[in-house]
Amino acid sequence: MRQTSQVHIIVVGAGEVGSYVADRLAREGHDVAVIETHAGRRRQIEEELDVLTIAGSGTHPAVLRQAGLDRAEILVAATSDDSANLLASMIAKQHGVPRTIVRIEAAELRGDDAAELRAASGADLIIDPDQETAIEILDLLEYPGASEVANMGADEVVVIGARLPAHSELVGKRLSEIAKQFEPEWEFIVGAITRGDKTIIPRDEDVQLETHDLLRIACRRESRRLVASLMGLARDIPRRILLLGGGRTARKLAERLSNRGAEVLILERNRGRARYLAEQLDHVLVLEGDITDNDLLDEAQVGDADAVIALTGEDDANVLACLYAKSAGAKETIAVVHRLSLLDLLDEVGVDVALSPRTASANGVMRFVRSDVAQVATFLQGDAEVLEFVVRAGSPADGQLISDLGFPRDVLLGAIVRDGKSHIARGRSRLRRNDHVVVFAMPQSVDELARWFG
Amino acid sequence: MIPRRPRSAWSIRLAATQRPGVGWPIAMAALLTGIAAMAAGVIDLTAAGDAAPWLLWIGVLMIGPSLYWLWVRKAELHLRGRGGWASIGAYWLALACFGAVVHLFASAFSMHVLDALFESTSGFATVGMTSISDVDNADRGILAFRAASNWVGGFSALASALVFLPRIRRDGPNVDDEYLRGAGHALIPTVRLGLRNVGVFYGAFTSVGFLAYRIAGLGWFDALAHALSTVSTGGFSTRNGSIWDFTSAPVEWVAIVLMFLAGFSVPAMWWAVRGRGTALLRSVEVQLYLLLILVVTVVASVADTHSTGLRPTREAVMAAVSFLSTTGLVAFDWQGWHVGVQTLLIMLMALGAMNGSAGGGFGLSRAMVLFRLTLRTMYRMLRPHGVRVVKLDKRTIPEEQLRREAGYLVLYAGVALAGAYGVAFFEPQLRRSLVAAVAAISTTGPILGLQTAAELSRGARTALVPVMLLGRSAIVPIALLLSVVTASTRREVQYRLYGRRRRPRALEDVRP
Repeated sequence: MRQTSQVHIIVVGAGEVGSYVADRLAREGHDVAVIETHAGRRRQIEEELDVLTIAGSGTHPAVLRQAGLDRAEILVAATSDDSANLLASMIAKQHGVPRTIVRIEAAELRGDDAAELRAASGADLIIDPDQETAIEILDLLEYPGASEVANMGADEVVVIGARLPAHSELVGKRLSEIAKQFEPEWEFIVGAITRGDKTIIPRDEDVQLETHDLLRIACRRESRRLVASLMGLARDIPRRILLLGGGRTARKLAERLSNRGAEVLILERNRGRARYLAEQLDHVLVLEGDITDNDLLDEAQVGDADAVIALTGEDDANVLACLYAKSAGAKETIAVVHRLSLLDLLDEVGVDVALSPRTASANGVMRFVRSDVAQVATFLQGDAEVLEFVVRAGSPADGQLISDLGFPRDVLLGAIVRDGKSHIARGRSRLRRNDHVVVFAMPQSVDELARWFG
Repeated sequence: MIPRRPRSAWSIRLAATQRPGVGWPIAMAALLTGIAAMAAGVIDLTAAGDAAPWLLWIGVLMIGPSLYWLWVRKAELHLRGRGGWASIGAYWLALACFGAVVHLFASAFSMHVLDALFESTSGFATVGMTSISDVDNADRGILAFRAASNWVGGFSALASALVFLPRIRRDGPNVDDEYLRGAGHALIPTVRLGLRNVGVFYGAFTSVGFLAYRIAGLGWFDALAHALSTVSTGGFSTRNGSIWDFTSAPVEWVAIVLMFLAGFSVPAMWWAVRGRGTALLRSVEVQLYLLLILVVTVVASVADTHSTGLRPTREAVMAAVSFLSTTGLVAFDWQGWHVGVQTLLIMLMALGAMNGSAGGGFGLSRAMVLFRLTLRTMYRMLRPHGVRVVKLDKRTIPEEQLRREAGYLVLYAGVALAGAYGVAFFEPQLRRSLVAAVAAISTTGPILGLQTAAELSRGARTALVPVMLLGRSAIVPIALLLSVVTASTRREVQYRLYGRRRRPRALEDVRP
């Protein structure tokens, strides 16, 4: 529990992003009020989360006041309606709420033309779940076989998460053996190991790695290929990519991927949307049809695809299509799933990577709420978090050896970024002011961490 | 209160109904023909020609009533729905008929009626075929009227393609939308301003052409007549041997440049003048235009080695530009060229100039659109669920327009073949009938194997009249007008013959 900075937070919109953010904030001990117009969704939130729910629209000052506008520290406007979000932020600012987070989807409202509008709304942070999901998928595609990728420390440190396949060089080795192999200058560090339900931060334990262990490794950017090959991940960047579902995330992905020279195919059920995509994306092939139709998947030559990414709003369709693709011979399958409880199941049936649009956005919100944290990555499986802190002048860590700091046992300092160069942290490393440090930690120790650096 | 701007005498009154009304276009056709006849009459006076009084009289006879109709009776221009198609169709038919009357008068009724109709249609449709066998000795007034009819036809084609047809179709962007509706400096913001802009552009272009010919060494009348018939892609000359008779390289180069520009899309040129020249070069249509000229020039130069020096190249460029722009001014003897080159030139004719120019033919952007439609059709065979749009210069072509362009191809080919069939009744040579039909529908003019169209039989020439008119008017308006007329006539006949109870509905109630 975070006693020091418990604040009142209003979340407008209890959709996928809003409810997840509310959940995480409430778990950290904040007072959370959720405003939602839809009665059914409100009831669901009431059942699942320990938050205050308010019926009504977040664009009505009276409703906001009912949710505690006067004492709120943060307002998160996360409905799927851009204009409602902007308006809610504007009202909050007028009532003296110090910080607001606004979800904006329309590219037109994110560009320079709308800078004045955004300034007028007073939004301190703008999030776009689809965009963030797209970026997450792009990162994953760079490390085929990895299930999680996070770029930290101004992209100088890469945290790769993957299950160890049987052919990985690391299988059967003890951490001490690996450490010895890469002396004197480590290129990477194992930050967390999840085996079964249990996640450990390997500070002192000398764990022997086994097949199917889920490892999170922090490495210097230059060494990411080495790490990928040690972990037994494929090295070829996918050239032929199938996107199942043509929503906003798919469009953003298709644009980026085809700019990189990949051959991209999109399958979309809605005829108008399919035509729109064909108009907008010049070098992308668009097929119209249902993604669970195996004839259509065959027409798209799903078996030849290097990566199949299922992005529709329907979890079952995404999973089914991925399974079919895998059985037809697709190299890698990535499914977007909305129900987090499905995740463990997917790992077993053969979907290579599952990710949720909630977590990508939620990471941005959490970072903002814990304003002393420069960056945060939360993984879908296992509890460990990866955080990035900046060492403030005069803080306990400033000028200290890491071994002298006395961190709790479930905290591991992974990497230090100093003057744009990254190093793997060792006990003998000395921290200096303005260093960015990447830390693996279990949630219960996260709050304590701020004490050392802030 | 906003002060009411006094209504200009020349403002166009647009009808608010969909009912066809053809008063305005017929009166306008009479007015323009009358002005052309008067001007020709005045020019004839300077040469003391015989036709002057006839031309002046018929000019007055046409201008008077048309002014009364437009000005006093305040005729309205019908542009909505079927009314629009009827207006365009009626306008072209009226031009051809009034022009024929002028030719009859100017020749003091020595000309056969069908020849007069042919000469008039060929002039207004900017084809440039002639039934006058000795142009060199023809009356100057008649030559002036022919050139003027070319010019009026060129302007009418531009106005119809750029201003009227897009508005009548009302189906969103047309082929030249990219240029037409540019922000701030639109060429066609409204009907009135659009006509003004196109008119100013066309007038300025003509003046430049006149000065260029004059500087190149032509007399003032030759310079004027050739300027009028070059910028309009008409191709009437004041000499039997066309522009070749002047045996002047500068004159030929001027003709080449003017024809090249005449075949260029006016909106594209407008944007070039407005300082967006680089965007112009990125246009697929412009690239295709330049590429075709280059390729045909190279092929024609290489395949034709009967002479040395610069002459072959100039001939080759001229052939390419003259046929692609569908002008038909010639300063070369293509009859003796390699059959492959001749075929290439005939294909250029059929393909025609850029859409949005005064030139005729099928139209380059239309051809590009159809080519891409064909590619898409083939793609769909491979991927039945594939979704693909047809684009031109980054703009998506609406499906409705794709269907229309495909339909146009059928009409275009159909009319050309029907014309060839018609000519074949009177001309026993297969090649001649086919080439004549292509030359007529593309509004180019020169017929392979003939010095002038006067060598064709009168029947063959008459068979070409509807082909020329349909080719110039983009076929659809006249076709729709005829279908409306025949439908109502059929009903009338049925009523008279069988005494059907239901009286035939009025013209305006019949759906074309």
